[in-house]
Amino acid sequence: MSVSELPPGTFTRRLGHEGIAFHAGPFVVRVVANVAELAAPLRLLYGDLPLVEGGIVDFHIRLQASTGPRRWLRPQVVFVCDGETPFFPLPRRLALALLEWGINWCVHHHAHQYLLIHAAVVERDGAALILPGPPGSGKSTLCAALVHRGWRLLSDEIALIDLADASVLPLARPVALKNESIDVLHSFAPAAVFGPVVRETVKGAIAHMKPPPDSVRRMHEAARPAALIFPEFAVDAAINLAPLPKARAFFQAADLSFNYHILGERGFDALSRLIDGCRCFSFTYSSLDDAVGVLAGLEHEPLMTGSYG
Amino acid sequence: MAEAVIAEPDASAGPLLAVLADCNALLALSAVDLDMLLRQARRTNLLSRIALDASRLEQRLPKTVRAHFDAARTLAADQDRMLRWEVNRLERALAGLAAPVVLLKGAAYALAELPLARGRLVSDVDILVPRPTIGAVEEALLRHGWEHVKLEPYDQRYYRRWMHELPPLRHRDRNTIVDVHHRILPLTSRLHPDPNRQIAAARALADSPFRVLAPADMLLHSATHLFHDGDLSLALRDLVDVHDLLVDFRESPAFWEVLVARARELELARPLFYALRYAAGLLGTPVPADVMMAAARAGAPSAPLVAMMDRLVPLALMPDHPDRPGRQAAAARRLLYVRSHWVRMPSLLLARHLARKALGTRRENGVAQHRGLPREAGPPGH
Amino acid sequence: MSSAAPRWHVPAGTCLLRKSWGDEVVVFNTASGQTHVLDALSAAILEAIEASPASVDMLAHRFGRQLGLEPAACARRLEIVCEHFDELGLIAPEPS
Repeated sequence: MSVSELPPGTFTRRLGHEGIAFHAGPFVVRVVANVAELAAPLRLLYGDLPLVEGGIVDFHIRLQASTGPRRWLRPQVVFVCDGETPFFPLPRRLALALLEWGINWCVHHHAHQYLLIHAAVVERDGAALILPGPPGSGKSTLCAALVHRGWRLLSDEIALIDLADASVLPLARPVALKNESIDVLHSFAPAAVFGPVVRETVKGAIAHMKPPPDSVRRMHEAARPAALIFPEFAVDAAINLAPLPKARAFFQAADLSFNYHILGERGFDALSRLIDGCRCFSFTYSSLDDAVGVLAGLEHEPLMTGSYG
Repeated sequence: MAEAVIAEPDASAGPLLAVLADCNALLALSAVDLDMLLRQARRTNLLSRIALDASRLEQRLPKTVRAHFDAARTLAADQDRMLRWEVNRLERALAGLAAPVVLLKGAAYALAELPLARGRLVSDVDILVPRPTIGAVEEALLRHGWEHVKLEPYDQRYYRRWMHELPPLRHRDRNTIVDVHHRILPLTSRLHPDPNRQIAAARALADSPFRVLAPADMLLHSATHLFHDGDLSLALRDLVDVHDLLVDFRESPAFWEVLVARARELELARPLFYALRYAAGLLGTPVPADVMMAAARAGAPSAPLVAMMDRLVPLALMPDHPDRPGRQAAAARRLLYVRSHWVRMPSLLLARHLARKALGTRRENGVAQHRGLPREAGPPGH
Repeated sequence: MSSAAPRWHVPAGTCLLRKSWGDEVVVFNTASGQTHVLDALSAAILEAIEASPASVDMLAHRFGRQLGLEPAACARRLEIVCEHFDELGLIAPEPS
């Protein structure tokens, strides 16, 4: 049974009590939240996810809204994962965003059975594009656009690289977008489904895009990385997809990895294998349409292996 | 002395305690119990240790458990490497000094190749040096890239005047911490173990110019850390350390013969009494009856105080249910925290210190930041 | 060339893993857990020291022509490279 097949009342009740358990790629996540208004957006964004009943949960998450008198003065919500509270409390209206950030935190803080890179990942025709970048590089926006032009969504945020064979595993979770990107995506992909837009305190608006059903359906299907592309969105920049020397790509990827330094030799090996198997580029763009066009063109060229090609 | 009536830990700690006692217990755990085991083990910093011990059972465990164990072993291997490299760098930095340098705690366990070292996740290095050499040690470290951790002036003064160690030093490139001690307990403590005796009894290491405490001293230091050091957040892990040390050292009869006498000599009989009592009572550590009695004679407090500790210690040490944190446990920890500072400081100083700590700025300290984690991919602007 | 000149070596217990792409070599030091990128010449110098302990003079003899410097400047340059490697923890002075 998928999340959307559960009657709304049942979903809301479960969310507040024993919690809702679902797959996020290879992980099982259980969320308990005493934030009733979260139920509707979660049902929407996670609608296609099959519910998990029983078995071992990887991440037990609790969203704890302040109770008692203070909840009227300054309603807040805290993210808790087995006693750890990695974030300061946030205003209650940011509960969904906090949950999404929190699930990401669980993965990149614990999942050292993979090499984890701060990157968006999409796949088409058996080849995956990995788009590593810091916040602000535009990778989430680019990712959201690509998945509405025929690419499968693996992740907008974390690349899970298998340590043995350097394949990349999906998470297929909602895509977080901010400010102008929300409107840009609405025009670019009118069919895209969004959760509520929240005006956040410090930096404008945030909203989450529902992962396409096909991506969710194929959540357990790994992909073979073909290209490592470091995107950089810059207003009015000329579009430029430039080959990147592999040693440089190695370092940039390691720099954007959550756990390269923890993995030691296995990390070195896995990242080497990844770089070996991928064409590496830096990518500057200002127009989403142009960017998608260039990347679509890239994929049809024969892939080269070995030293930088 | 009456039979120990020690409070039972929360049922949710059951799988963890069972597996600590015998790794094969993993094979008999249900999915629900395995789920709870992973949670409790992670919260008590014991997951890596269990994962290492379970290596040979790997193939018979569910895939999810194997994945968590794999990640936990990776973390432990990284911390071990960091620790050893830090010791390597310290050897280079302190090479010119004639002073004996004694490794303490995790670094000691690792370099001495004690089984206890497996799965530990602390990479700070603690060293003990004779007090007259502390200036030279500090100077050498500063010259080799270590820097003082920024402390408020109050804390700096407090450290230098009262504490048993320099303010922590952080290496500017590696971001790792070294704590340089000149005694194992603060000057303000009511207990005064003589560091010169400990240094004199320290043993050489095979592959390092540094030394480690003699077995009895190592055990006593561990016991003291557990019961006199204020921070009880890792307490079960520390009791497991005591357990492991006792199990490792018990093979040599000489160890038991000197243990209580040494405790008396170093004024550490009280922590020893508690360590033996709770390791045996909560973890089933085999302690010879005569040693237990001798420790009680040497260090047990009044019967009412023992009874109170019997109630508080299990509550504070054992993890409560991860979904239903017990108020009792929190209260127990608070009581023990205040008490342990009481043991370390005269009360006037304590009142001033606690007041200062409550009013001063709280530094973000909760989450272990892994070296190399470039950012918290979290709420922007927060 | 004095045979008593101090020599550099890669200490036992330090295992260096390498991956080359074009002119650049990525080196992983298993002892320190650190990763470095070296140009081809630096990498060659490191490899030479790893193969057998060498003094700056010995290295100058071997790499002088590639460096294209006068002997004194060459030695000075190699000293700097070796000190840098030492600071990074890749090599260490051979114990006397």
